[in-house]
Amino acid sequence: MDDLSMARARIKWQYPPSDESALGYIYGTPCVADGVVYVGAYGGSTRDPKVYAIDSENGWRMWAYPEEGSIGPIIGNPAIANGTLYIGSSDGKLYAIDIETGRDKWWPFKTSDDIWAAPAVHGGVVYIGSFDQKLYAVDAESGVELWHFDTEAAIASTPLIYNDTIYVGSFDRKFYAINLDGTKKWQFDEAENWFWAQAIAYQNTIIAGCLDGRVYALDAETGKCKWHFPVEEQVGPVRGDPALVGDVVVFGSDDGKVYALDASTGQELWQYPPEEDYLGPIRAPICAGNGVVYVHASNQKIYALEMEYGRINWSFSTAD
Amino acid sequence: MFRMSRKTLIIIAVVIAVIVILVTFGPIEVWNLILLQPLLNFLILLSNVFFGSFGVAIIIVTIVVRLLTFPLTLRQLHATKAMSALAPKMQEIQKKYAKDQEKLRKEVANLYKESGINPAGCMLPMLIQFPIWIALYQSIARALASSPEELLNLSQNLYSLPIIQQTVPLQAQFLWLNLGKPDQYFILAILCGASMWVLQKMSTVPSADPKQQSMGKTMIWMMPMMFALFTLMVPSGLGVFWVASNIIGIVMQYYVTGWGTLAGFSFAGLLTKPPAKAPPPATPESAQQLETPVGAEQEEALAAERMKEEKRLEHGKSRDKRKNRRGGRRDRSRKARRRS
Repeated sequence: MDDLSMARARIKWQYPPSDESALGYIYGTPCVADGVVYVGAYGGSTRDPKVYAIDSENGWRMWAYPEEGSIGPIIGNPAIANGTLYIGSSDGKLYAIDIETGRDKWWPFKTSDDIWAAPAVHGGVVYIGSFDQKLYAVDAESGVELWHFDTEAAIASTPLIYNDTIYVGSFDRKFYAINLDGTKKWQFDEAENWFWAQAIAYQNTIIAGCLDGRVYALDAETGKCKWHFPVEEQVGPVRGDPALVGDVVVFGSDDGKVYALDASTGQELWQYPPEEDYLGPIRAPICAGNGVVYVHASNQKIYALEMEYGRINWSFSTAD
Repeated sequence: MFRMSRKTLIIIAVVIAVIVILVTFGPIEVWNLILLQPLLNFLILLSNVFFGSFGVAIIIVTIVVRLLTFPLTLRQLHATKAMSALAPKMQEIQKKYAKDQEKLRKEVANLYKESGINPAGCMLPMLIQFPIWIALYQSIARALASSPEELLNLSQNLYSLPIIQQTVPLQAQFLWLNLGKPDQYFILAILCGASMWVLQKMSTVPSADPKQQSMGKTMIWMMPMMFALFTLMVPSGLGVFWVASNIIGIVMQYYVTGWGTLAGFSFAGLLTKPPAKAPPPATPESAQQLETPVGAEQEEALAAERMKEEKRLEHGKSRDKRKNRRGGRRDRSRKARRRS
């Protein structure tokens, strides 16, 4: 990594500061809105699980929810819509928090088991999956349940809303398409393990990573499998959310590699690192922007890869 | 020509097969395939059958595994009991041939041969059961996946049966416990320590060797305290497993040996001073022998010796009496002669 690359990878701020105890594990991806970073923390021995709002300019904490005490450990991402932050917790509750004040907007919505998924908000409705094997539709303003959809096992993945249809995978090894009224449109049941990563949509195709080591491309209307990658063998479990950059879908795998595929055919365009090298399991979602793909691997490094050929721009170690 | 028994040939064949499998698939893969995954999936299946209660599933699997390995456990218990019965004879031989190691080894081997005991009879059943217990311990720990990494790992070890898939993630609540976290009320630690102590007390056989006695006494207290401490640190699902295993062990031990040394135990004895020892008997040598703990045969020999000594002393007293009588008669006749 040269000096120019190093200049691109300087830390702007960190929260909490070095002289304070860490927040504990952070599994979810932070959400940024209007210059504020919102993140949920799993908590640990030194800190309780909480939701934090942090100024993106200087890293100062604006509020923490709850102010006193804690909620269950947080694993999913927050979602923000109309001035409200929605987040699920391992105590089985969906919280709605006013982003200005950091206070409850409505009484937490209770499910029967842990919530590890992130919510999706669309048309005034919050959609969230729970370990109680249900996908819930909750009114975003009042917190009242509108309907729920039963699957056969826990749901840990974030729903995708595309063309007025909800797409979500479950631990029952099935991928569902659900109408906005809660009725089933179709289900795909040829996978060999759980669906955990959030799916993405590309030209009427739903692309979903699976823990059986494959990425499936399903017709959005019928659920028919258009292609899957790899064709014959498997890569490692695909746990992190893939990213779509133009006509290319990029995903990370537990085998420690990043793969870029043609979104319409599933053909591999490149993989990083090449050949026998590997980075360590990649479970975080892939981020992309301005022709660069950002990957956070379990070897405690963040990699910036140039999009066209998958060559490395820089890497940054997050370890102390 | 070198000939091998059928039993030896079978053992060699099994060992070779195990080595080939380990080399081909790798030890971890073999371990997962043969032991870990079956136990793990069985645990999860039982959780589903027993209304989602993982705690009940742990107890039932512990009972099942204990029952399946009961023949081995029984063999081990009998072997230990037989070995302990030989302890006095062993001590005799050790005293007699302390300076001749070669002779000592031969005599010990003869003793085992004559009594029909195989020293490996104690160890072999334990060695066979050990991997099963480790696999069960690992299965419980893995099934209690409470973080995303653990759950991800669990997903790679499950069978493709809908009933298994539907049950995961498991319900961690069982009675007052969160099976994925240590028991915050210490109740499980106390149960684990107490049950282990009872089992140790029942299974410890008194030894003639004072050193072994002392070591045994330390172990009876140290192991339960250690496990009680572990229980405070690990997920309580594992504590439930240990308590269940100890209780089943107590039942099995009672079936084979009864209450053992626990029968003579009283809590009052822990709190009060032991009574003062009885004063030594008149003859110093026999008193010393009596104070030294000895086996039954040695006691008999000592008792015989004591009787002989007493007879000798008695005879000595009689002899003295006769001597005195004769001496007395001689004195009286001398006195009579002087007077006359």
